[in-house]
Amino acid sequence: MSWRELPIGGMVVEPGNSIARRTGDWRVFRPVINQDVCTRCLICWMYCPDGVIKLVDTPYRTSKGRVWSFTLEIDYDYCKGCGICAEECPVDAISMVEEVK
Amino acid sequence: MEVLEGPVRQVRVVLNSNYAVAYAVRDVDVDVIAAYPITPQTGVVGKLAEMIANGELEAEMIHVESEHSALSTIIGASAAGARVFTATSSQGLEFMHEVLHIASGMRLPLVMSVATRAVSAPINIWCDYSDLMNVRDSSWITFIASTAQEVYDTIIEAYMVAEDPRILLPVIVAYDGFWMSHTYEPLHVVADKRYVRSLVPRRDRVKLDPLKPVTMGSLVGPDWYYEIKYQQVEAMREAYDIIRERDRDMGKVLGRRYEPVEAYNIDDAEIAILTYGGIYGSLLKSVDRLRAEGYKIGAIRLRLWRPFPVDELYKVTRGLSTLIVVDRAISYGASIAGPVALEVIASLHRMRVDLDIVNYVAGIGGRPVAESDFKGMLELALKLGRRARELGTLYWGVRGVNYE
Amino acid sequence: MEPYTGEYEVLTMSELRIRGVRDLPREELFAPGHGLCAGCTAGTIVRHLLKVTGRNTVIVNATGCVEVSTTMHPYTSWRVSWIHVAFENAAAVASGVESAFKVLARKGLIDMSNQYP
Repeated sequence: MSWRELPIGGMVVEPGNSIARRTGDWRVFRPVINQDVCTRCLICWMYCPDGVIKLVDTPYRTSKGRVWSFTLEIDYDYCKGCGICAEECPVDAISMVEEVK
Repeated sequence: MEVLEGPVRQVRVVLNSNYAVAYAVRDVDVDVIAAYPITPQTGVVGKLAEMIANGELEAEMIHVESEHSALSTIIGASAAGARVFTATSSQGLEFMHEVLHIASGMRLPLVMSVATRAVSAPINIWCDYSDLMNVRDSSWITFIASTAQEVYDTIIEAYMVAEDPRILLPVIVAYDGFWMSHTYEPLHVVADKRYVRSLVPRRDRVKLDPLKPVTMGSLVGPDWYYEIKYQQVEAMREAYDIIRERDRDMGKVLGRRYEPVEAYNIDDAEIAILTYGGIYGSLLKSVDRLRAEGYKIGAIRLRLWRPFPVDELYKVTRGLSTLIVVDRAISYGASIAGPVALEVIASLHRMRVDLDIVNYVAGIGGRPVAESDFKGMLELALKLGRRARELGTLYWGVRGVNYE
Repeated sequence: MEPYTGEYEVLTMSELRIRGVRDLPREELFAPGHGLCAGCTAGTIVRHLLKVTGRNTVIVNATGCVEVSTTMHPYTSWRVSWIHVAFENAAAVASGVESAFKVLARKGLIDMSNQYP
């Protein structure tokens, strides 16, 4: 790629293209959400510095019979394993599990 | 009132160079002006404020707290798509120095007028070109004007050049502080500013737009920085050709054709004196007198400083045996202290032109350079002969410095 | 897992009433993949800022951690307009951007109504 093809002045014209950098490989520990315990309070989603916790419209039926209309899922492509979600969860639904190769 | 009828109707007015800048900026329909005062350019922003207040110009004037902010503000405005302007001199130009590089690196079409003034210390408010020469490498296209008329015409041309999508580099138009900025001269301005606006049409470019988000000013590592800077090198190179085209176009439209290097009485000349800025007027008078005395002498004026006009310089100096370059700035410690002289020597060396080049530094700190000074410089150069070349730079008119 | 690309309800600033977590807009205008340290809440702050300001935003960023980590050429994490100039002039640049929009709209050269609602 030559100087002719770059946008001038170092501009980046594709918004949000940092999704090409999969920072998930930074992790040592990965957060795992226990969907049975999770109350869908959205605090983990709110605090995540990378915005990798997604609200997915997948209904979930807990073992006690409670039905939730949505679920929270973590995008492990980008999660850096900082542990803020696990720390902030008020019901301790998230545990940090060591990444084992 | 004298009116020029031609392709464009022009009226004759009497203005100093500061006001000539303001008239041109008004005619071009600028959107955002950053105003900070510094002697001797304050008249520019003062006149523009007056024009905005009485409705002649529709623009936002931002009263900033420093020149650094002045340039930063117009960078933001230009990034948002506005046509912008600011003016400065000397210490102000130095204060905004880091932002000068950023402005050209971000490829924004800014235009700035510089009423040249000596740099501190000691503090001196009068004219020399040390402030302009100090920003030589900032990748701003630079014009040096010699008359108020030229200042008016060149500001208009500056917008045409800066906003050209093949260039997109900022432009400086410089002229003598006090000697030109405060001296009233007759000139012609375009009668209907709508015509000027048609010369400088609004163009689309990448800018800050919520509907099309872009990131401007990203961090670039060793991987890509050089390529991005090389884009500027190429833009400057293209600018040389485009400026000559615009000079021709303006000539047809306004009846005044400028060239990057202009010469007077050069055809059969053996010696020529090259200089720039307001003192060229005195040089022309001096050349007339010296011709009458029998010297085969011509005058050369440098108008385009960056990109340096190698071709034009070669054309006008080809037949000479001696060239005297009179600079108004000092590059301390350089082998040739006059910045323009250094550049002239390098260009002519590249073109394998062999002539004697004598460098004088004169007019420092606002000291006048009169007709008699040019005659004195010529006579001294001829008397010193080879020694002039060995000395490198001759400092003209310093008490206690004597070369004979 | 692919990033969520479904429809989000975009609220105007005047309609935005945040009483609790569930009222936060779902749209992510700050993309992951930036280089901020793991756990740096600068990321959280930026995400929340953009949820409140929405898409009609121009971010003027001074030189700093956020600036260098989120715009490492050729990538950017910003899904809104963003400009960085230098270290101490973010406010000056912002006033320039604001003046430009004001005067360009007044002159009819841009259409301010043609923004995101």
